Amino acid sequence: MKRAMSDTLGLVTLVLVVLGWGATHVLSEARERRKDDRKRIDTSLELLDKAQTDAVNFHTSASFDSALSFSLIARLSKLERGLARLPLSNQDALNAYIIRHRRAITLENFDASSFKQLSPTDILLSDINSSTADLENEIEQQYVIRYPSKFPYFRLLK
Amino acid sequence: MSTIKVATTFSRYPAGRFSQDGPFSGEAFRRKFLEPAARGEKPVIIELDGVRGYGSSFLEEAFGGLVRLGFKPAQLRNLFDIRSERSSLVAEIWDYVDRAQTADEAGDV
Repeated sequence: MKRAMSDTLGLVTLVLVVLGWGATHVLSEARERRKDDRKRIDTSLELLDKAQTDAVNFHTSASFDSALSFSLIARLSKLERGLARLPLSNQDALNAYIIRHRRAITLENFDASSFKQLSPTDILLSDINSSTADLENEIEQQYVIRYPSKFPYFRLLK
Repeated sequence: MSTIKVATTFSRYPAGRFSQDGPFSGEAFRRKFLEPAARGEKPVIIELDGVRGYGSSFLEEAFGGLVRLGFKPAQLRNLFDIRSERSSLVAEIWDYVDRAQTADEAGDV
């Protein structure tokens, strides 16, 4: 009887140890993944910030800058590819913000044939700034959905 | 089904709205590839990937411009299978097609 109880206790202890190890492993993995994702998001946000600065410089410059227009297109493309690689991205929700952002920068006043220097108070610049802020906000919101601030600090997404 | 790969058949660096903006503008792409494809009856795959990037003015002129020429959005949707890893590009293109139709109906063009 005593031996059976001891065996059972040993088994329970073993199960608890394995469960504890498993939980620690899963949470540790999640923490590392969270750090990696945060780093990638910060890189995307830096790109977004540079794109905003370049876009404002482009539209307020005295003459059409073809090198800067090419660089902006490449930067926006790189930004979108980076966002698509983030596991937290709900791409469908993000698309509307990406489109609005690209459109604000590259639809009007973006070609040599139509370019004119804009004043710092032009509505197009306001649109660039607000679409940048909205995209940044959406990225951060999706990060919070993926990694909430309460236990277990991550959420499994499809 | 034929395929138009922008990167290999047109340019890896498409840019600009009108032909005066450069040789690889949205207008040039429309005239050279999209208009002939839209006049045909066979479905066409349009592969957008492999280029450095797209400006919205290029996309609007290339695809929205088709509607301003008289092509109907439904006809274009039946003919064109637009593909890209960046799904926002495909959504943006069809938005320009629909907007051009709305503007046309409102008499804005």
